[in-house]
Amino acid sequence: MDLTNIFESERLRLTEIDPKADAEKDSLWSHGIEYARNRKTNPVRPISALESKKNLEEELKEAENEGNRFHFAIRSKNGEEELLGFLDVANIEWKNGQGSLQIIFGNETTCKEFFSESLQLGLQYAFGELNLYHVCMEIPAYETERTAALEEADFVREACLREIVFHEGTYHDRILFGLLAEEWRMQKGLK
Amino acid sequence: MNEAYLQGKTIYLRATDPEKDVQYYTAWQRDALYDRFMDSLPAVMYNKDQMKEWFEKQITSHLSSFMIVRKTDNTPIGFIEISGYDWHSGNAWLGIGIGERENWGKGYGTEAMNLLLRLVFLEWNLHRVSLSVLGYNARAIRAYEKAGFKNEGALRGFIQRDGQRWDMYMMGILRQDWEKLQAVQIEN
Repeated sequence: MDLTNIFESERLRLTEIDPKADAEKDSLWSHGIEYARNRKTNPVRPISALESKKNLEEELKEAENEGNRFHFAIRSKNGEEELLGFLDVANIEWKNGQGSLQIIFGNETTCKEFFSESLQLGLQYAFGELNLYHVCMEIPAYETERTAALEEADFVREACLREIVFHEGTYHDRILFGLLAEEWRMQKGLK
Repeated sequence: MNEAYLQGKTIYLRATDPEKDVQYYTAWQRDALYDRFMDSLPAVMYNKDQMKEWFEKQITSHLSSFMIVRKTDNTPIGFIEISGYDWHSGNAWLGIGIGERENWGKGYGTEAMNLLLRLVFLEWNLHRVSLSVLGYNARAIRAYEKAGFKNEGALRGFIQRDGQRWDMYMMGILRQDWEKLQAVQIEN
């Protein structure tokens, strides 16, 4: 394991979030409904760059005050370090070694291309750096590509919250996926 | 509001008053088992001011909290609350606690849940109610099943206490689950 390299993979880099610079893209992406849902705008709606900047600033302040959330920008490693999405480990319960990993990309194409790679960065951070015992990811059941990617990465379908997401006029299930630190270590050939 | 929504056989529900009711919460929290059933986070002691402040922050928009009051002596014996509303998906989260151990296992909680489910499905137009429960709280899991909640899975090893790991069970009841139960009760 390369201890110096936990924030980068082959094509991606996790960096700090710059609310001023990153708000524009966050606002642009929020005009896509799944992005807005993942950003938890309630109800699902697009937000302006001004609102996005405020949200990002508040999230960072809250993370700092509460000490239970770590929030990164996902950027491309080549050239301009273009912003591709956000990754955070949130709702951490230190006493239980529990946290939820959230990864969102600006659009479907980048998600398809980079989701699995960013997932490995997130897990490495959650288990290797934060020493969590169990990581949870929540995905609406209709997002079959992301659910497949999680199963590919050995996540277990731990719960299915029936009809908890309203989308395109009907109710959909939300799947809760989980991975244990020991499963991740075994997968990586670590002790 | 139709008062009947809040009237059970042995208990009734009334609005939680942060000024008057924090005394009950501070008394109940003295029992570590109560605390360890209520939350996966560390069991802590809040004083009355801290608790009142928490209520005042939550109670307007994020939380609807009721005291469960025993009819024979008008004593609050527990609380039931709905929070985490997601109005456009019609989901919210339920929390409930019965304070003194001598009041556990007497059906007070089941009665309170039946009242609250009627209210949220018939008046608030919720589509489902969710809850999570710690794996070692078998009594609560049985009570939730009795009220119509279905087990929707378990987060593995979610909680650590006394050096052991337990699962966190996720449960939910849909409006149609609840309606079916009402039909059965009328037939019987």
